[in-house]
Amino acid sequence: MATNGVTAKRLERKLQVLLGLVIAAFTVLFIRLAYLQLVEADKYQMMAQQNHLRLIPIIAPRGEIIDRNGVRIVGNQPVYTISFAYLGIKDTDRVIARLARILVGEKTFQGMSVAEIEQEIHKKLNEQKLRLYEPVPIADKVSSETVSRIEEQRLELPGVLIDVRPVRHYPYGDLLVPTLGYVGIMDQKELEENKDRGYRLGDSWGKDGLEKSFEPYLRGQRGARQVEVDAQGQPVRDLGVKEPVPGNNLVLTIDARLQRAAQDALARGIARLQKEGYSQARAGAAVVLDVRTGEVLALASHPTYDPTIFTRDLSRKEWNAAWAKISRDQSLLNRAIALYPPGSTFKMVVAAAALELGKITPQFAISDTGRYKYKVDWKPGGHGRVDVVRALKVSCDTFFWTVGAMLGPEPIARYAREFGLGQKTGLELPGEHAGRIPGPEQKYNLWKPLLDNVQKQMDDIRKEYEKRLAGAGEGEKAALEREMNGRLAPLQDRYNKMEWELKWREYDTLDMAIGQGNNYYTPLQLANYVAAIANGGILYKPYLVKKVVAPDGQTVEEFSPRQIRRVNVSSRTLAILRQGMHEATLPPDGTAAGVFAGATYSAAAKTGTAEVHGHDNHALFVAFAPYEKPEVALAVVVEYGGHGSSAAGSVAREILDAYFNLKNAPPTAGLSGAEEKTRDERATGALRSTPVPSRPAGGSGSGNVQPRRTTAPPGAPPGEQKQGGSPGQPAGGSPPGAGNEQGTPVDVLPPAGGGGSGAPSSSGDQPPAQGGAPGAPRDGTQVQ
Amino acid sequence: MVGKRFTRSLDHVLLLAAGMVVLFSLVAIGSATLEFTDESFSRLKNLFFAVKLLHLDYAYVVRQLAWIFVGLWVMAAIMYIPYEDLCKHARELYILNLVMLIAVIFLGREALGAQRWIYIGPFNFQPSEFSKLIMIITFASFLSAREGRLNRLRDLLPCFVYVGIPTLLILKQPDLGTSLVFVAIMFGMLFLAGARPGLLLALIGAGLALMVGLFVLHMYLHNADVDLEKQLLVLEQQKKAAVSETARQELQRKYQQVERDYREAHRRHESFHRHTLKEYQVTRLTVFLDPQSDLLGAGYHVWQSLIAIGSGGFLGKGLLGGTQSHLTFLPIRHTDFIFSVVGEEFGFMGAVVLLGLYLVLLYRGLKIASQARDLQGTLLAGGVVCMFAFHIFVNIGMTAGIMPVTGIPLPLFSYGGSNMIMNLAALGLLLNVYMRRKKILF
Repeated sequence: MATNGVTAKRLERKLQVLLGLVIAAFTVLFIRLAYLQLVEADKYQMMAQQNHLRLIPIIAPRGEIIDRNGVRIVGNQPVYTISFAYLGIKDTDRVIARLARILVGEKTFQGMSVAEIEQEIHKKLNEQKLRLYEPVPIADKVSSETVSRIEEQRLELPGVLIDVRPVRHYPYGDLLVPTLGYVGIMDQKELEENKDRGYRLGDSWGKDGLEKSFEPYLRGQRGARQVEVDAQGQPVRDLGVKEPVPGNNLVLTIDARLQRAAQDALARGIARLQKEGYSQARAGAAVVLDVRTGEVLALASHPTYDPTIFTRDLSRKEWNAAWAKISRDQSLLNRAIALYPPGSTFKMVVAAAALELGKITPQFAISDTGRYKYKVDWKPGGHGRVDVVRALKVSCDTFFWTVGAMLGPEPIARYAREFGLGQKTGLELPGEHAGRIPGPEQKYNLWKPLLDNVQKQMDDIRKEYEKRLAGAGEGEKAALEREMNGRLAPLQDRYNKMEWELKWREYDTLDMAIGQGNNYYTPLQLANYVAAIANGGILYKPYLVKKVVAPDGQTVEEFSPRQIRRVNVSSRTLAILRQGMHEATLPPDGTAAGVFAGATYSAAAKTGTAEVHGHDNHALFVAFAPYEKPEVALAVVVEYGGHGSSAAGSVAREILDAYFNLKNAPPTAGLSGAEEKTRDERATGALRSTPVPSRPAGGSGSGNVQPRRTTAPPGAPPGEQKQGGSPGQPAGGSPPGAGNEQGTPVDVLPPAGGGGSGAPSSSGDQPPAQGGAPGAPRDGTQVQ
Repeated sequence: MVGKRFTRSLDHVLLLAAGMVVLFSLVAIGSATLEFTDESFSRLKNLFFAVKLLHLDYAYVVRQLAWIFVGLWVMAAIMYIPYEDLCKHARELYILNLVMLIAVIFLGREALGAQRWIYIGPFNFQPSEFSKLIMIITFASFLSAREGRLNRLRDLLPCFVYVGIPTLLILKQPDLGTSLVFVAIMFGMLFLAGARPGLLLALIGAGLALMVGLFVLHMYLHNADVDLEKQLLVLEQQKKAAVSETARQELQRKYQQVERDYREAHRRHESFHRHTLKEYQVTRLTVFLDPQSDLLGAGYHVWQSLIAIGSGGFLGKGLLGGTQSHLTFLPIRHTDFIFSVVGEEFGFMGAVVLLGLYLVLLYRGLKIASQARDLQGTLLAGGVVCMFAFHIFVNIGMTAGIMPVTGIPLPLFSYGGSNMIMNLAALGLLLNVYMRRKKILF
């Protein structure tokens, strides 16, 4: 058959067809490969890179916050995050099952069984199935035990990745809360506004306090690590690391020991008051300034909160509980820069005004019978013969009413301003209040809108009845008119009263002269005003941050004392004020004599009791010491604390005692557990100071600290003025803030060396923050 | 000087092409199985090519070499026996084939969801591979006896039965890829044996239409099932949220009705899968059309393979430079997806060289078929060529995302003993026909 030519030819043809088919098939493959490898090569090359190259951001630690003696108040500690890289179909299930068993009990999966956790992980994985090259975050803030268990089982857990990131660490619990502020994840709006500063989704930043105002300094620069990974997400090699640059450290003017003492004194004082029946006394503030520089040595606000609620991974329930406590206590509010009526602590202003303007001489005296016109002194029967020094000593209301009436409101206001009252001090904290000095114009502005409101209500009622009267029959008209008048009458009453209030009256001047009425100042302003009296008339700008230090110890910026002004009050007058205040601490009848009984130093002080309508009085106390050569000034406020000398005075005494006792004590005295750890920490501190590129040029400009709050609500609504305008009125009975959570190990950093050049720091570095409503902890605290 | 005459009687071009393919495959296997686990591997990339060869993973290469050695002996043995003698034993071979395939069903071990292997001592042996070669021999004998009597459909029916029985046995494993190879071989050999081309085309057309029809039917049944299930869930939610009792009852009625429909649809869908392919098989076969629809599951292989080949570009990433391969993104890369490694590391150039070698091999095979001294020889050679061509096209097509994932290896290239021995034996068969071509040298 092979010899059959026809068959052979036919066979040849068939084989040619087959060859044609083969060539066609190969052509298809050829074209397809050319398309993939020549046309689309770039696309696939990118995908291959996404597969095996991973840029892992390294979050830079924030700068630490250190007190004036090198005690670390805020540090950082590592937190571990578990993520998972897709493994291909085969191993994934097995690894997830194993991982789920390890993660049982972790916060992220609280209350879930192994099977549920497995399901949850699968769900998370599935949500990201189009970006397989990115590891999927599985659990946040896992415990170090879990981390070490995962490390032990490394080989059986391919694809499981552990990331570390630093979070805030507070070695001394609530020390310097809420002045420190807190750090939280930026919300959408904050991110939007700060995108050009290099913030990215998921970044944290300071949300309040020092953390907020020094954000540009504290914030570090993110680093990154490029790694090559295999399909299991296991790093095969490092392709390069850009080290993160830690943020700069803040060295504060605060003395941690004194701060602790101030917070404890406040807490103890308030606890004592509670026991004595002042159930409304729950909050307070204390400010200690160095009168020679304006340095803030302590800035306490009570109650405080546990700062770790913003760094721990709280369950929803825990968070709600913590947040409810914060809302009730209003403990995010820094009461040291919130507003209080000054009470008698204002009397030095009036005395200064009268002496300076020549209304009285130092010898001028009244014979106090305990009455001035329709006003009655706090001491029945009066104080007898009272000159200005004695008036301050015994806090004689009658004397200041007399003098106040001689002065009138405007001169008193002028001297209040002279001492820095009613103005922001420029402290580096967001939310500082300017305060309020009363006066005719201010009073009018306060009452006018209220009056207009009543007027409008009355007009509305009239309009309403006009319509109804028009449509009513004769018989009904009389009844309607009666009804209308019945509704108008109380409003008319209020209107008449308010109209009276539009004008400045004599009793306003009298109230003003003894620090009541519409006087509202911050404890910080009060302390600073006393400091100016003490130091001979220099009004310093109080400040919290001494210097900013790079992680390598180099000083980035140093803040030196700055005068706001020389107070335009003669030294003679100031000396009289000091003498009056000093005598107040002396027996037998100085108002603060009891407070300073047995003190080893000489002091000068003034008590204050601010009446609060419908509540116990606010207790105030200002002082400086030593009298002869003043070093510190302080102001203490206890909300609803009753009486100045007993409630606030004892707190002030404790703080001043602490100040003098601590003078020669080690930097961590009174901070529990300090000694043992000091040395280790020094060692780590030394290790830490590896050279790190300092801040980029231009980054250290003074203009960097800017108030971030652009939408500050106006001051306290005028409607509240009758209530004394305390920073919010905490409702419901509750014990004062839980005691100080100490017992944590103490961290001490070596005092940062270098620097000290004494170069004048650029001026205008602290544009005044805008005021905000007291008692309204700002929103935007969504840390979770 | 039998050796010299014997050597001279071989098709040197064919052998050279095959030899180069096998050499290439050894390099590719040695590279494919190397997994980078730490820094040290990345330095290999910059070495000279020859030095890189020393760093290959020789564990698999050595084993493959052993199989090649065995395969060469089998090849020589097959060359030695005149093919007419082989064909004389077609009946016994056919029975052996069936016994082997049935044995897989009873004795086989399961792997990757299919029973394809029989373990003999330390070796696992894949009967379906050898089945292909036996099929070619027995069918050639079967067809040559029917020469000139293949013009009507009725004439073809016995052929279908003859090939169909082993094919179905393989389909049962299940090994769809190999059964398709059988179909391809059958049609190729029928064509060469003189069956009417129009009739064959019609049959192939009908087969394709049936497949498309089945696919459409499946989509219909599948979607109906899924849709009704969704409806049921929605109704269930609505029922829970129903405000009034009457509304609830109304929803309950509707629910029951949908539930009936759903049961019916689900049953039909299930029975479809019972009688044809399983759901996952359908997914696997069709996912190449859109691998991104299931990147975590069925589409993963295809997608990673596309990335590997595409990212190779024109010249490739160089031996040991493939990130997809060495960082283990590519699955089963030393067997079914070996071509992806070639595409990634040797680029378009390497792929084209390999395609060229295969083309030479197939061309020589067809040449041998045309020079055969009788129809039996032509059919044997033609069958082998069809088998190789189908394997090459489907395998490379699969890695390049234009063919379904059927898991058939790349001839003379993929790692695997049974496959390599069978391929070398098939080459032996080709040479057997070549040596005994029209111009008799012996």
